[in-house]
Amino acid sequence: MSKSSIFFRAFNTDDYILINKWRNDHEFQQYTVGPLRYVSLEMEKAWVYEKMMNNTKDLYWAICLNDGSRRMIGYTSINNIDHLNKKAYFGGIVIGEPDCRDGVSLLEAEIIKLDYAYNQLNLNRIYADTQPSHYSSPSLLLALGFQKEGTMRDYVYKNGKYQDIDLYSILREDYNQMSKEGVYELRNLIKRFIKFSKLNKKK
Amino acid sequence: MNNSILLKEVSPENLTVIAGWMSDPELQKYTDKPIRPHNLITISSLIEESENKLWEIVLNSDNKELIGYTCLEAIDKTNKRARFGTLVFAGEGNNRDGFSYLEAVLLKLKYAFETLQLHRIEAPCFENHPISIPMLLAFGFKKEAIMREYMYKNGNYQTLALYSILKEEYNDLKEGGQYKMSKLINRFVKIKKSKIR
Repeated sequence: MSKSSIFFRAFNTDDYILINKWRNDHEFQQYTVGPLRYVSLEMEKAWVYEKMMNNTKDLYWAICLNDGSRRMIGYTSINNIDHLNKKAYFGGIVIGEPDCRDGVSLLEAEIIKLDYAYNQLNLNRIYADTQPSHYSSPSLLLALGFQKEGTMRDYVYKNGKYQDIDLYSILREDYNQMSKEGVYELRNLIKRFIKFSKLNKKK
Repeated sequence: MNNSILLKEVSPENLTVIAGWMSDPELQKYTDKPIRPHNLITISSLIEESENKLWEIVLNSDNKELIGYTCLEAIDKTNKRARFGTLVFAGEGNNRDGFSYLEAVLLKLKYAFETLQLHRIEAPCFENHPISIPMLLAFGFKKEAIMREYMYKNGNYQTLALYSILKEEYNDLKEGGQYKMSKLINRFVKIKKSKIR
């Protein structure tokens, strides 16, 4: 596999400044499952500090460019890590820097995350949720080998109304099979992503 | 008509008994929780945290005999939803005829929709549970997802189905008289026989 254009690292104390800038981009936050919140710099600092110091149940990473600059371009997480039932929530991914929103860093980050979840954390089930009409998440999840498990009706209140949320999951056996088939090689994943994006548009 | 049971705030003297039921592998075999021993400390979050609501179920008679417990969990006030927690009857056999069970579910739904003013109640449930599924369907819950290998229990990964009911569905059914005990029993029996899942 060719070298990834990004790498993950743990949060640093001063990451809160960039994260806060991205979080307060409400245009972007409209499409997440969580509630819209106004977060002060001080709160953000405390939040980043908490994520730095507790990495058993939730794991947060800064996504950085692998080009020597080590510039942080976004962050992502695996949440609710449950070692008893060997499952975790596939946290959202924020590519905050506009010049890096070409989709490649996003796909690369998802590959690293799944690899970590299965090959380091030894999990069995990764689940994710998304707004059904989200511009990229459903195609992204399908491309990664997730399957749609159902639609949770009126699951969140957002943008003035109750909204449905779709539930997705990928099991270890799916992941192993897809790995064997080379799905997680970047060029193949890009093709799959384009294929599912086209299918979703038709619907 | 008077109910044969009541849902009550848990009284301190009953907590130990309830913690014992929560630890009982037989009673907990098909719940969506891991089986583990509980005591007053481990169950304190169920009582102290505002996202959970625990009740004891007692007979509506003079001695108010304790026959079970139930709870609402993960009460989310922003999105106005909650999870329909475990419902356990542990008294002598004559309280487990199903009648008190239906009454308890109805009281819980009433509390969730009319007192807490929630919008959505969801219930994760073992895929082929012989009692819970006909019960949820009889009350108008709808199946919305199959959560594959959701948890490890009883020696295997277990797939759970997710059911939900919305406030407007509850109101319609209630206004249409569908929550009268006779109707509920009929529907429950019919669904159970037909093996609708």
